[in-house]
Amino acid sequence: MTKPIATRIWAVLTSLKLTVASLSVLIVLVLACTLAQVQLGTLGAVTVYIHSFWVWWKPAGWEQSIPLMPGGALVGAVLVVNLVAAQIKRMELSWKKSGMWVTHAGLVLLIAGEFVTGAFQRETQMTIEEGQTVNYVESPRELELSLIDGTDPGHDEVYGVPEALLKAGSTVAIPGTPLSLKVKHFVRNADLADRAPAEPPTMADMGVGPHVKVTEVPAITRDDEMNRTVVFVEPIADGKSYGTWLVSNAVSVPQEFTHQGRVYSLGMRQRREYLAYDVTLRDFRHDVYPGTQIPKNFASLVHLSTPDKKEDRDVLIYMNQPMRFGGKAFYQSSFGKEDTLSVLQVVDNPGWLLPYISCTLVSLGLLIHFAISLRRTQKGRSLAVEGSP
Amino acid sequence: MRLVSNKRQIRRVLVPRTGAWLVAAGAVLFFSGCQRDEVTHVRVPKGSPMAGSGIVPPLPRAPGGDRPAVPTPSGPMTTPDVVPQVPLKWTLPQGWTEKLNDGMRFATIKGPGDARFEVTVVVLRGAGGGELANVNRWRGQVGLPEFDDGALALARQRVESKAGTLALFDFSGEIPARARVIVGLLAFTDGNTWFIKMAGDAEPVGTARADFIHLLESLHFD
Repeated sequence: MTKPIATRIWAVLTSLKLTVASLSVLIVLVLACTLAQVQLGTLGAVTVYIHSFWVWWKPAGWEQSIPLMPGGALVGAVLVVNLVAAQIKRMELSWKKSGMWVTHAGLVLLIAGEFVTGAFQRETQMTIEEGQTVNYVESPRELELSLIDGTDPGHDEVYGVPEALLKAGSTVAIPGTPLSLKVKHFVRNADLADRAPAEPPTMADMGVGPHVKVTEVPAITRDDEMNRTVVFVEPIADGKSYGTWLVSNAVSVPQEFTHQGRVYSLGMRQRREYLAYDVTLRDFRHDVYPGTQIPKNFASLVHLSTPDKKEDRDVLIYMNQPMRFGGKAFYQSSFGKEDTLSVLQVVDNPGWLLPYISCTLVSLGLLIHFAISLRRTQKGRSLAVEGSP
Repeated sequence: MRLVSNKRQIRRVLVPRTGAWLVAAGAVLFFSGCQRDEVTHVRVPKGSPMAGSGIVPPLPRAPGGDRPAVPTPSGPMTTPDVVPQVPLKWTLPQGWTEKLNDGMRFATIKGPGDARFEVTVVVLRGAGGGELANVNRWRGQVGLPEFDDGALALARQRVESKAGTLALFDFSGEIPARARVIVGLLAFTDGNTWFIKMAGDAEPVGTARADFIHLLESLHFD
């Protein structure tokens, strides 16, 4: 007589073989991910192997990709389910097993923490020169189309349209203005060059666009390079078209048009997130070991201040000693301009405490378990001694 | 001491709750995991580090820390509706040929034979994006890092002509292999800026440099 299907599924989910298989796949994934970093860069490799549910492979000449093996996200989810199910099946809810309960809870929390990190963590950068005050961070990879109304003498109205909204055929309304941007074409990465008069006309009829030849090339995945993204947009206001413009992060001068006396400038830049506080770089130090060029220490002395002056203090950021404020951690990451410019890696991860808690739980659980086992062993010995002739 | 001895009872209590928790946690991650993509708006005081932020060139981080400029497209980058009120003129070196165009690219000049360089004469309205931005664009075209104001001043040479004093810049780089660009920049009183740029392989550009300087010195307005 065959077992009910639910029973069989339960048996698989609680199986130790599933644990071993998952851990084996995880080892392969980590190895493959490490090797792939040569070609894809850290972010690309982690996205393909660790933060995905499946690792996809496209054989040469095929139109479609096929799933090659489970990705890190799927393996992690299976491990959590396996761990919880095995705990329920095998472990008894008793004081003598309390250590193992705590240890397993710690392991589940560790894997859950990776999911929280994958889902919520945002990594940005703050590039700041000595004496400069900055109140924004920039994404190292994501871009945004910026529309700046610079008409007012005292301030600019800056609008940012994330790259994800720049889909061909879509229309993006700019809130608070009569403007909307009709996206005609989007190219993730392109080579740009002078367009010879004999070459076919481009989609753009305004700004620099008519004179630029755009050739689509494969997107960049390496960490130290950046796509030259191109988008053709048509600003429309009150039913009036302002022509089609080529906007790209490879074009570094403003392209302007005027609507009802207001001057708007189009551009593309790294995506920005503005902060509710200012960071001023007072000093950057790059120490080397005497007589060598081997780095000994990188440190940024910054001044942190909020508009209400509740925070108004100096903070020293150095290797592995970040500044934590407003839910973000500012790590010393890089430098430049003959040691007058500092690059801070800004990590926003609401689950940053979870690995610490999980490690504490695992350690605590093991201590409890060993203590209980030790006590039981000692008690057994005492009984044996008492009972001996 | 045992709290609950019946395993089946434990499972009956825990399994549904565990499943519910896992589903709830998954749903939370699924629905709120992605960053919200929406148009942002911020008011930035002029003169602050963020002012004019739409034209800050993108600077990808390079290994080792310094952040070289993304190479910009070749060719001038500004609004092209330029009609020079007074055309610029010059004397061609022997064997050189020219082709006059309309609009932003005023003329294209070729060296003798199959010379592996080209001279372009471009006129732009206003400052044409500014001296520093253009210099950094040319440096980007030959794979060199950006200049700041101090480096710009050190690199600037002067060439006198009847049309006025030109700022001259000469850069050699590795992109494409052993490329060189020499540019004369002339700001004129009618509000236009003229760029006379010789670009090509390093060797022929170097050979033609003296003739190019003579061409610059011959610039004049009639």
